[in-house]
Amino acid sequence: MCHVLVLNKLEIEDFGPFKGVQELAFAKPGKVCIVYGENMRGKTTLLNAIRYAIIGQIIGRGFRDESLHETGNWESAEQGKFGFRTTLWFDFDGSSFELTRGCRPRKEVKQPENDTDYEEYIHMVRDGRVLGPEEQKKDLRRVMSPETARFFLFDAELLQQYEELLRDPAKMGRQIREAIERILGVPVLTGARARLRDAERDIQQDRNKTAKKSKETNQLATFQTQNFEMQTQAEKEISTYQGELRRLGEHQQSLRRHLERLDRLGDLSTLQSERDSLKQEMQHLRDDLSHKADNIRQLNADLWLWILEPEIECLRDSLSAETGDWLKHQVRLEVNKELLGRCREGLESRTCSLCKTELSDSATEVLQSQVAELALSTKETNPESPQTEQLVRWRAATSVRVSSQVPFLRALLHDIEDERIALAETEEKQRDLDREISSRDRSDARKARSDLETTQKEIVVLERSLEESQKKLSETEDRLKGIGQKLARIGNPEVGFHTHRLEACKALHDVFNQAVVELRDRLRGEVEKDATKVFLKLTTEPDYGSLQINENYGLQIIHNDGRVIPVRSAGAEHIVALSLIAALQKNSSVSGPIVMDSPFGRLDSGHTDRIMRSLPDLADQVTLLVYKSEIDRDLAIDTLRGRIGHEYEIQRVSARHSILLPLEGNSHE
Amino acid sequence: MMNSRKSIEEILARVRATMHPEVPQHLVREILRIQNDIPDNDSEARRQLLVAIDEFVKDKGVSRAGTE
Repeated sequence: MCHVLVLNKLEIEDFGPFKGVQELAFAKPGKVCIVYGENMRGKTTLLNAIRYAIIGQIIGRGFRDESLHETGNWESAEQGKFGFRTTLWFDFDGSSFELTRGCRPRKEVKQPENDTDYEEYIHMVRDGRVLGPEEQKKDLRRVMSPETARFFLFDAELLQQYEELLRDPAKMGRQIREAIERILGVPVLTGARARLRDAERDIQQDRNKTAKKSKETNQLATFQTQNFEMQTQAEKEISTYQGELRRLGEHQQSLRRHLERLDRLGDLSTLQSERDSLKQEMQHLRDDLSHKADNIRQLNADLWLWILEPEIECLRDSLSAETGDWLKHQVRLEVNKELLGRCREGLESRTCSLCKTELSDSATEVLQSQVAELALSTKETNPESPQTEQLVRWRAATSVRVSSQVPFLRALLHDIEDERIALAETEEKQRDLDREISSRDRSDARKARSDLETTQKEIVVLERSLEESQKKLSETEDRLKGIGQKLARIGNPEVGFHTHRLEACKALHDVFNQAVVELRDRLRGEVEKDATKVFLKLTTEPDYGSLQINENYGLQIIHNDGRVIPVRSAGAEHIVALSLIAALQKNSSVSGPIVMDSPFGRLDSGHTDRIMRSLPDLADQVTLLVYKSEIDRDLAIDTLRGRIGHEYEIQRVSARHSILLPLEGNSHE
Repeated sequence: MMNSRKSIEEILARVRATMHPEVPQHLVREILRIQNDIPDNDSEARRQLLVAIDEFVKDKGVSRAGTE
């Protein structure tokens, strides 16, 4: 029976850079949800939030658990609000769940400083009913375990881990194989087989106790007891050594990955060149700001006139009116002078200057009175204008109208403000990059190399000890087998009863053991078939014919001519790893969502396009966390053609504050 | 989807018939049921398993006093 998991909605509060309460609606089954975000905005944190919501784990680089204290939002913490919360709404096998997890400072702690200052909490509601701790535990185990979660929630680092498995299966071995088999449902058989083995021991003990009661079998029973003790001791040793070897193997892998990352100078140089271009950008902004400041200074030289401009305007109007009056007066004065001259001329010649007729006495009298009046008016007028010079000066001063430059000044100030914000943001980006670059200190690489060397030596010693214990166990088991045969031959009926139980148990063990082998073979066949189907859809190389699976679920590319492709590119390994994951999804006992963080990083546009087209076929529900240069939004919309459920963008507010913003046209559902 | 319970039962039935036909199929199914119902390794699961084996041995006519 296949269990179906559908994620509906995630609410996060103060988780990493996601300050306050923010929400992500997952796409419905058959559709894809895309979250765009540049580096260091919080994509991986969002993946971790989903992971924490489902399985309560936050995984950092090198598969190390992240600190609770460090995961809470820093800005909220500075404001005295510590801890974080996730709430996930999902459907599983026909029931609706609401699962809340989080952590908060312990009651007695005012200012948390590390993880021990926090307490974690969990609430779970199924179909509207709050579940008790035992029910919670049981349901959570059914929904998803940390081992199976890796097939649903993965990032480039996990893909790399698979690629290592594909390159060198012997090194990766057990851990990945067990995880793969868990998701494929093999543990139902391996679990029963282990339980039958335990039951076999119990029955052997029962037979031994019975044998001790009889004289004829007592000695053999005592010898058997001694061997049981030796067997238990050898098994304990083996289990300890294997556990320690697993731990060291994981540590070794983690160190190798860490070193590979450090060695990939490409990464470091990318960061450095990014920092250099930020520096250039900052310099450009500073130059522009300086140029604009000069412009403002120039404008400021006349700017004081703006304050006086209304009064100047008023004064200029009054001066203009005064000038008009003065000019009119001047004209009248000239006219009067001319008239006075003519009148005087007429009086002297006693003839009219216009018609040249002789003036009568009465006309002469009128003319004399007119001359007196005109002479008076020309004497009254002051020919000098005391305001003329002042008028010229004011006119010159107010010839430039400062107010007309105000909109330009405002725009300039606005630009300066924008550029200052851009500069502050760029400086902060540079500080982030500086921190990232300094964290990749070379001394870190030296320490990791020395640690790796020590680990490898410890592994060699442990492998030798394991070999010795296995030899010891094998010898003890041979002796016990011999003792068992002797006991059976003696024919004590009570001992015989236990021997029958033992035989039945062994027969069942044989059946389950063989069934495990057959199930594994069949599953490998299915995974190989499904991975090949996906691979042929994803690869752009027409000469690749199929994939071939090995014991550890490692996949090799087979050329159309039947030969194995010995060397393959990073891009090809990426595609093979994705094909394996898709095949595992298909054969998993839980059908559900996949959430992929930056899955296209190293792929060319051809492969990216093919993966995009195949996304809805990889899993029922797909969520992609991508940076913009990984896939173009318009292209994604065009490629997926109506199969995009939701789109979000992670927007930066500050280095410690990001917002999950639904994009326009977000509701495609 | 290949790892259904049906396909696992089918493999077990075939293996049993080939390797140990004397072991009844219902006993194999019972072991599988116990494993499915109680996947954790606890004492109850072990007790149920031993009861199932004892039942089978008794059904074969073997008792603590010997063959009946």
